Amino acid sequence: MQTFRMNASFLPAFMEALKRWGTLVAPVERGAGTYVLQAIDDVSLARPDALRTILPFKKLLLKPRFAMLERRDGGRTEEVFDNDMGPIVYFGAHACDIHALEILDLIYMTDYVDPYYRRNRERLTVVGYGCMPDEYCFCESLGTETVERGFDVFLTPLGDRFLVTVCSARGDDIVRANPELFEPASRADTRDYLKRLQEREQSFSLAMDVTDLPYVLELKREDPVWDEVGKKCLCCGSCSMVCPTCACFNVVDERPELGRAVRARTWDACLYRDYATVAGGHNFRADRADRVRNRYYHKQEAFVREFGKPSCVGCGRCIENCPTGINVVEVFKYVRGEL
Amino acid sequence: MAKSKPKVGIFGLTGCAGDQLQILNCEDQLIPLARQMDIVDWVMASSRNDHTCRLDIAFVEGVVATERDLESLKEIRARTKTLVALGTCAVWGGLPAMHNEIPREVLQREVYHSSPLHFLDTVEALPPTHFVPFEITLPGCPIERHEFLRVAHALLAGAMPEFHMLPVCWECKAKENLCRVVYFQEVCAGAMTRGGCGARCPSHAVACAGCRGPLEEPNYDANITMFADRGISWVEIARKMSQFSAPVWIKQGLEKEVRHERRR
Repeated sequence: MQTFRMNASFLPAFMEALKRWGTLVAPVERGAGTYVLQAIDDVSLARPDALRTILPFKKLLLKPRFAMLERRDGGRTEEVFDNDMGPIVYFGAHACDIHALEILDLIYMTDYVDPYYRRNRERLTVVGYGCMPDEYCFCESLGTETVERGFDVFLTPLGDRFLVTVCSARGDDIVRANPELFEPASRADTRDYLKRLQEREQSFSLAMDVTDLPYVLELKREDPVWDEVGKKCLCCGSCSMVCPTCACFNVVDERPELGRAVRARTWDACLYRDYATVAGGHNFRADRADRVRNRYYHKQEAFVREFGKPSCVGCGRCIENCPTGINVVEVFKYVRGEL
Repeated sequence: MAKSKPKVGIFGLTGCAGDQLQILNCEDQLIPLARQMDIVDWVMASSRNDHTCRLDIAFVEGVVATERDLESLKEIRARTKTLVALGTCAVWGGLPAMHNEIPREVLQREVYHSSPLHFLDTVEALPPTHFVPFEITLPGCPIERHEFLRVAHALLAGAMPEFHMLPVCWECKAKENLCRVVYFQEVCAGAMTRGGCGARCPSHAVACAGCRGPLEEPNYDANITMFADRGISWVEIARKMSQFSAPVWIKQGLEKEVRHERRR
């Protein structure tokens, strides 16, 4: 890992330079205080300081819906490359996003490699951007508030300059190709960086106790709290859609027009009743409470058993987006009997 | 020998005929579709119809609002192999069933005043699905053309169409719309309503009115509580939640609240 310093006024030039590595995608303001990740040409539109985008970066790797195969009458079934997005530079990734990216890699590229994911993943350049938490952020509780790998370049704003961390060969290329933007980091930069880290640590207002959480959950499987949450949940699936690590999908065959059949893949969510419906109309999780519980158990229990860490990065999107105000931090407090 | 084409009938009971119109609106796909099927009975689009032959597929839109509707429906069912309910009226009752609680005499007086009318022989408006079994239900007010085509193409291929039952919220989030509830404190029926419309209304900054009818298991109670918790009055909630899917939603407890509010 190398560190440099970049003058803050060079940011637009840096973003222009990034376009050489692919389509520049950055958070852009959609409504007051809400942001979406969008391909931009005009770099002044980028708002890398935005904490959350409505949908996370996962949409850059797998579209909410894309065609996998297509067949025309009399022809052969052919692969369509509907999901291929070409090289993308994802500008404005926060530490939690980069941790989430690592979790998606575990899901999609561990045992059976998902070719649709991989094609986009291999061409993804990740440029991180330091953030300050708001009232929904609880990444510190999950140890995802800082990041040491998984990005190409990371910018930490330090007032009039950035501390630039380089963590990959591609990141090194980016720096080497634009030597006029960077200079070696000084002792003052390191000092300010550490000061900022301290400041940031102190600005977290939300915390989730994850001590022994998988064991607590194992013991609380039949807790009435799940019925309570089940009563409140609309099963609208918003939390799953906006979750950077929710990765379930569905595959459907359709005939959009005569003589043409398409096999499409769509994002799905375990909160939907249809999700666990199988042949004969049986449903493994017909009760709303079972579905809600399943979502939390997958994140904090099953995933830990399989990969050694939870699949929640504390980004706070589910809290911000739940229309009925279900709050993951409070749910686990309930489970522990603290509320 | 050429494969015989399936015989198809398209029927409207009491309704606005908007779903049949949506079929006609499938302009580019209509001719190829008509070549694949033998549309033998479609009063709205053809002047030569066979009203008695057996049908492989029949589409029915509208509600049963007269005795005559019910007779027609039973006749259609008796001569049809695969019956498709077309539109929210046919599946759930839709707009005509919004105010079944008001007696017909009162409706007649309010709409037509005191002039004596002999042609009004209406009964309580109910969806055809209330009276006879249907193989496929396709809600929408009106139906979505791409969904109608999916049904038609699947049936032509000898398969049953598959619809993943997701709420409007799925498409709304996929489009990254700002949630009408979370950001605008509006009464939005999206979480209870079957998607497929591409979240058309929220995408134009209008809350979902629930025109496509409920999902299999809408959490009605949590929805209305959510609106009330956000400071929206029960009258407003009742008004918004009594559209389109009134018989399905309002009977589940809201009537009480409406009366309560009126007394105050």
